[in-house]
Amino acid sequence: MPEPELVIVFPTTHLTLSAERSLERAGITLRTIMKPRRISSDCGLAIRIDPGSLDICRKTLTSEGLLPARFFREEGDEWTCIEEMGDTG
Amino acid sequence: MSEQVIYLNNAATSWPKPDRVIEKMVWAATELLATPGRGSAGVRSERVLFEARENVAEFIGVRDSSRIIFTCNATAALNIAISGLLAPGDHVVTTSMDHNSVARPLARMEDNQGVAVTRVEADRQGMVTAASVLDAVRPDTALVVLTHASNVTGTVQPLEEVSSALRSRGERRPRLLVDAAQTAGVLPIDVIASGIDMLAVPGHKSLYGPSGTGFLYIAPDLVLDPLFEGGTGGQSTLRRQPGLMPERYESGTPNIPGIAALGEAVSFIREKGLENIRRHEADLFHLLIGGLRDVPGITLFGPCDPGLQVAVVSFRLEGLDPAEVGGFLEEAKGIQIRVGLHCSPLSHRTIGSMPEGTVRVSPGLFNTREDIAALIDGVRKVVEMRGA
Repeated sequence: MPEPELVIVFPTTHLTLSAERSLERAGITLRTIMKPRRISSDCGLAIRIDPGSLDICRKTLTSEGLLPARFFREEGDEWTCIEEMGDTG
Repeated sequence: MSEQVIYLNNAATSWPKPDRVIEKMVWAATELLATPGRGSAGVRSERVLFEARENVAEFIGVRDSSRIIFTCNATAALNIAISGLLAPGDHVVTTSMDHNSVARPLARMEDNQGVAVTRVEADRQGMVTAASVLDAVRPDTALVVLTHASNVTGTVQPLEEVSSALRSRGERRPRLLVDAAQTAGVLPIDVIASGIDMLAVPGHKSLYGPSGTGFLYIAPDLVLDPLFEGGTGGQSTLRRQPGLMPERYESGTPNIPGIAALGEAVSFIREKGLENIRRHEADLFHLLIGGLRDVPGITLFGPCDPGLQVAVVSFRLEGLDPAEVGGFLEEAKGIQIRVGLHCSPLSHRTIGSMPEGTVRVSPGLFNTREDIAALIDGVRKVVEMRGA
């Protein structure tokens, strides 16, 4: 069974699109999606990545100052926050 | 607009706009369905805003484009900066060459909010010295406002000298707000290299974007009270306005077609190159000044030197009201210029042209030498007709 995908959520769309560009430049395969409602009732975007990209995502977001960010993993019908980076308030 | 029009009022709003700017605006108005952050159809709008913001940021030397907020013009940007930064008891240094977009919010805060304002007097050519600005700075000075170039005389102020001296004061320095209404798109501006804390820019003047657009740069270590609050598309459960950029200062549905076109306009300017633009305007400026100097009874205002000003020229004709001159040029020659006080009575008081103001000619990127020759001919005609 394949490992479940991860979703990165940022507090602003601007930050999401900045991250999308930086992660793509870092060679990470990603898909920008509408933020899953089970994560947040807010409108906006999120970035879906392969779990194997987690480390390089962390490094890229940190080095580019693209924080705060929260990583979610889909488990059944739930999205579980597995990591928070930066001050997510 | 009629083919006969010779448009020399670019200091108010540039015209014509590049085709690609208009095409971008039409495309955005036609193709982009929704408000950014408000539903899946808004995602394309989000991307357009993001690209425009990136473009604008790069143009003024900013790496983090979230520090750019879009506004409806430079006046809005200046109001957000001034109202958002100052608190009762603060002192502000500004100059006697301010446009009302700076002068009026400061006057209100002076009258109602206990803000003290020192207006440094410029000379008759509209120039202030860096020393006079810096001498006016006090321990309680929170803000220095500098109009980069006058909209009446085109006079360029010593921005680098002022910013460099302010930076040398360290963390307790006053913040520097620059009104770049007449310079963005003509003179190079690098807010990081120049230590500018806030830069107010209109989209519709020398950037050749549409009316109803502009932006404000806010330095990363600066937090202003937002002038507008409301829906930002995200962080909706927060009781107060979000703190993150750019949402902190952008509420409500933005002017998406306008901002898309502004981003395109900035690309156009970058491709043209500021040096080429400046060279073209300096060429027209030389012709203009050279021709006007010989007109009987003329008084030219400002430095009359392209090294000291942008292509904005003010003049008066002896015995003639500026409004008469403007009326004749428009009716007889189809020439569009601007007369009067140009929303800048302080500047006119400074250069000695109150209360009638001046005739202002401001060529732009799309003007030709023939346009300038027609203007000079028109000015000569009005003098001959009135026997001035």
